[in-house]
Amino acid sequence: MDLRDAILCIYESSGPGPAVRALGAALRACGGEPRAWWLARDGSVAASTGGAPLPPSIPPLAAPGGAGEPLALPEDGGAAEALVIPLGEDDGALVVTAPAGSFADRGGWDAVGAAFARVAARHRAYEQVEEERDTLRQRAEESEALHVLGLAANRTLDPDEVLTLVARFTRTLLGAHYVTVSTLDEGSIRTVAAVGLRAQGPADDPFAARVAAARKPLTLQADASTGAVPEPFHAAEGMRVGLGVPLALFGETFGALVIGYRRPYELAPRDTRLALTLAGHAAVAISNARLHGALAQRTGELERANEELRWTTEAKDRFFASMSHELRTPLNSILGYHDLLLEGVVGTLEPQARAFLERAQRSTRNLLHLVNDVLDLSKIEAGKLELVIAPMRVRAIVDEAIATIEPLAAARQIAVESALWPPLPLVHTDADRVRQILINLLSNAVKFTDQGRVTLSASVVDAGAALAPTLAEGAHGWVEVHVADTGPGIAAENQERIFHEFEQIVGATARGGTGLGLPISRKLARLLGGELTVQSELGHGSVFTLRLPLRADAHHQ
Amino acid sequence: MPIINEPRVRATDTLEPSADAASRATAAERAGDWNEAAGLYAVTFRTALGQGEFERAADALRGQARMRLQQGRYEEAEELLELSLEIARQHGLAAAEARGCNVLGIIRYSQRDWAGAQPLYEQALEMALDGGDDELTGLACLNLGVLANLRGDYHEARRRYLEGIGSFVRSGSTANAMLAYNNLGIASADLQEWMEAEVYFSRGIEIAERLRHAPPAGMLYSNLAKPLIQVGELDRARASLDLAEEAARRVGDTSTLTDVERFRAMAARADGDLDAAERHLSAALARVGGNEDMEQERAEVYREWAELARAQGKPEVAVERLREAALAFTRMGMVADAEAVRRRVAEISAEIPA
Repeated sequence: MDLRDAILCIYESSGPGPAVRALGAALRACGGEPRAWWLARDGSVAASTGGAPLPPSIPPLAAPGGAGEPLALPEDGGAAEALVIPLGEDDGALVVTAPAGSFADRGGWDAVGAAFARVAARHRAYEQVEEERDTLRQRAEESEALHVLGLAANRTLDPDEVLTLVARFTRTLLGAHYVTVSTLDEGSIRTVAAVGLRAQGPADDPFAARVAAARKPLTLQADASTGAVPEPFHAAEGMRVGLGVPLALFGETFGALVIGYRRPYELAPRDTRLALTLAGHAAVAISNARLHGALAQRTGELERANEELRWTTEAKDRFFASMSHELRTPLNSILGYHDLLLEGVVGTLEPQARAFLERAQRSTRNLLHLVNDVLDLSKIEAGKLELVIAPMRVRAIVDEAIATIEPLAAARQIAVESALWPPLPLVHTDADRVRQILINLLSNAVKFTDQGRVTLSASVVDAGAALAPTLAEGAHGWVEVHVADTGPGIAAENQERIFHEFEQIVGATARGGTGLGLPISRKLARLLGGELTVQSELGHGSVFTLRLPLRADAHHQ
Repeated sequence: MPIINEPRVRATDTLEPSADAASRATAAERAGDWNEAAGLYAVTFRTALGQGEFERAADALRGQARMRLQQGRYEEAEELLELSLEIARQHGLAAAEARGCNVLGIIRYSQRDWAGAQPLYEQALEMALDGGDDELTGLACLNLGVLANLRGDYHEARRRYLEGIGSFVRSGSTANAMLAYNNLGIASADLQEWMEAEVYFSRGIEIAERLRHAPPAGMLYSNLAKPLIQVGELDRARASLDLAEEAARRVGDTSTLTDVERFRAMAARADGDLDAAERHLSAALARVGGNEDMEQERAEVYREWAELARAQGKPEVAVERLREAALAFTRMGMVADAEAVRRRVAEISAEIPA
């Protein structure tokens, strides 16, 4: 019998089954009716040439190694022989029956065994790859499904909806009868979502509490004798097998996801892995809901605080406005009586009495200024300051302001000069408020300048075609008035502070003032649609710039 | 419309005569040869009964019923199913009984008796869970989702389809998972969640391409066009419709070909080419013809035509078309769609000058 063709066919086979059939066909071509069986490791027939049963006289699998001696088959009256060729520990053995004398070529049969062993090993490797491919495909399908669940869950902020989705998806993905989601709330456990429960309404689940406390997966198995699990909640549900996994996120445990089977079921590592992933979804939903709840509560608190603050601010404004009005009346009265006394209406005053009275008069005027400033400030902040917008000649207002400040400047021997003025357009603004700002700036400049001068100048910025004696509709651009002094200057770090209410920089208090003049002036400038800024350097004086739009918008009021 | 499904009899690897007939019946069913399959299921039933294989006999009767259902012979299908269920109950065959309940539900659904279908699907689901039949669990969930979809409860439909996907992943029923993704896409589109709808249809397409299943691939490519049109991806939508048309033509799927024309019209309208839109809708309506089985396709064509008429500045025509659509939806018992169309009638009517 020439085995070379048979060996070639075996090598070309895709697995042991086809190899057995190929061997049978190859041997048949040589004559006779040979049969072959491939016995698996456990001795069962994995493949055969024609489905014929294995002759009963074939002994159990031989030890690994080459083919043993051919055996006479009593079933065939000794006319046929059988050869058992062990294929190795994992692949069982090959059994071939053929007419007596067919197995003379022992080397050839050893080669047949080697070819079979090679095919079996190749097939085993192929099956392993197939198995791994199936596992990977299954994992990929699971990942896709979990991704889909995530997409659906992300569509809502309602934790009940998300937890219900998770519970229902978990039930089918793990082939369970019921699923519960329980959360820990101030130490006690509460079922917040469930699917497939027989009991109506949520109930406490001590097993879920135990899982949450353990912070690891726990299982339940029905007792063989009673058929029930040792947890009343789940025994009542008919659980035979259960799995609980903690709901945890960022190191915090929120509760547990419990999966119940009412039939015998063997939990696999896959079940625990999937349950943990699904519990992660539930934990995110609970965490989001809690964060959302906390955020809503905080927002409510802030809104309430804001409302209180608004009320308080309004009350303060009302108080300041009312108080200022109430104070001005008696102050004016005091000033009036002082004037009468100083004019000698009731008789000549002693020099010392006059001096005291003049001091009282100055203090009263200061107090009146303060009260007026506070009143202005409260009106501005309450949005109740009324502007009277009308065309205004800048030069006229500047002259009025200089005239007002001249007595103070003369007393301090400070010259107040007006620089060369360019042609200025009319400005559409509130002249009284501009005058108020300029007087404040000039007053400060004179007070803070010990020697030298105060200079006023003006310029037009980005005015386009607006340099006309009358203000055209749609005119744009700015007029700037600069008040420069030769005083001590302001340090850079204080140049914003001086515009804050009641803030006076070191040394300023000695020169008088309420600390409200500049803040009010800036607020007024902004109300008019302009700005008040300062440029200064210590030891080199200061320049305050009032910038006004050619046309103030009504909405600034 | 979402797909409703029932698995074929599973082929076995043993070679008893009844199993052999069952295998051939399954093959004929897959090939869409309903008469041949019904005959082979009948042979399987008789052989199995003679050999005392009651589960196989019950399965064969169910297969035969399925074939009659495909042929629209509902009464016959129901009688066969009742007998299958009786055999299953008599012999304590819980799995066969559960599957029988599901198919009976499908028969009720096909007769538009949705209220009658619901408890049968629910019973099938409970029994499938008890028996650990993951594939049937998924199918029952899918079918319950379809009913929720028809009621207009799209959120519940989505939950059911997700449950179905869970079961199909567990059972390895990839083909059924593909149909669940399709239905999930439809529910998401109904909820106007276009991005999600695109993801789900694309996932279904991946599976269909891998399994080389042309009919569902055509339907999925067609369905994918809708969310793409809605988000302004008109080129991608048209490319998807080309693939849908190719696949649908290969298997003669008139329903999908009608949808393709309708979505082409929608894309043309979105592009401002109203003449082209009208041509596509005319083609869609011609495909539907007088086919009573395509009532839903016809209603959807009317619905789109109403939007086209409105875009053409013909609100009266739009209202007329919508009324025809509402009538068709009502005839089919699709209450939620009929109601949505009536709301649209009210909106467009308000635009008509008095």
